[in-house]
Amino acid sequence: MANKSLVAEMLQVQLAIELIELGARLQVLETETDLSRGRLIKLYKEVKGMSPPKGMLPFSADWFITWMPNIHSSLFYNIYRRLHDELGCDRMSAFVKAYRLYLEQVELDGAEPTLGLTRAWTLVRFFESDLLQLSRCKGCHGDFVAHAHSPMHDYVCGICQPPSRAGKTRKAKAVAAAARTFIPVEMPRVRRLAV
Amino acid sequence: MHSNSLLDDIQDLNLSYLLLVQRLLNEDRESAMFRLDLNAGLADVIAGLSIKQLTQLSRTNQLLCNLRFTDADKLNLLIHNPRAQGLEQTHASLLMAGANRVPSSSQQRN
Repeated sequence: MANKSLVAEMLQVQLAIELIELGARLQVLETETDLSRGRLIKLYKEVKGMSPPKGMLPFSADWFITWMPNIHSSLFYNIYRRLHDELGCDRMSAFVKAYRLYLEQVELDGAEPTLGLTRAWTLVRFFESDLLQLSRCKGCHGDFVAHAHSPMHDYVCGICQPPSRAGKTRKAKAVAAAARTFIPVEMPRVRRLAV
Repeated sequence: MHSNSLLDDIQDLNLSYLLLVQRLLNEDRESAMFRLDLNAGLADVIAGLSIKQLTQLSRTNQLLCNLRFTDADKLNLLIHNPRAQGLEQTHASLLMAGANRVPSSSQQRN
């Protein structure tokens, strides 16, 4: 620690702050930076104004396969893969950029960011440890997150063929009813046309 | 024969496009390459062009930038998917981000 470069440390602090702002849990920071736990907790309190939440991280790979989370995870992972595998971003900067691009798109769609930052990080780690794979939908040819070693053949995604109860929540019904009654005028023109 | 105003529009759009590319690249190179679907070589060349060169490039009766969807069936499916439940935009964005966006691109390392 004694002869560690100050610049390198500053970059680590910067990364940690960025991750905290985007909603990272402490475990993410501990794994991805060399900063001590004590400093991370202090940083977290300064940035968020509260103590970091305790408890285990979500650890189930099944979550990424359920309908809406799968669509969001697939969107995020497609972006991440492009930045990391093709455009030559290093792992963490690809991750942060991809997550920002994902949030941006979700906001444009007027949807909730179903995939939190910590989940997104777990997703990347699951891919790195070969728990998940991408399967190509035979309808739209998009790549979607699936369990590793599940059959690639004849895969159909959750948008081309949603499960029968998909999206039929009470909240979705309320939104649909509201949309029928009025279309806000202050919406940008492109989106008004898309309604 | 096309009216002059359409020609003007094309050239305006070309120039706006190139200026947008430069602005995006300046702000965040990799994210810009993702948004624009540009490779590193092209990104470097366009980023280095002077305003005069941009204007020269724009002065044509053809559009410089291309539609990202090259397959009519795919686009049709995307827009007319009766089961998409309001996810059309997310779907489009996912497909554009995917590795399969260019049919010829060598795919699948697994």
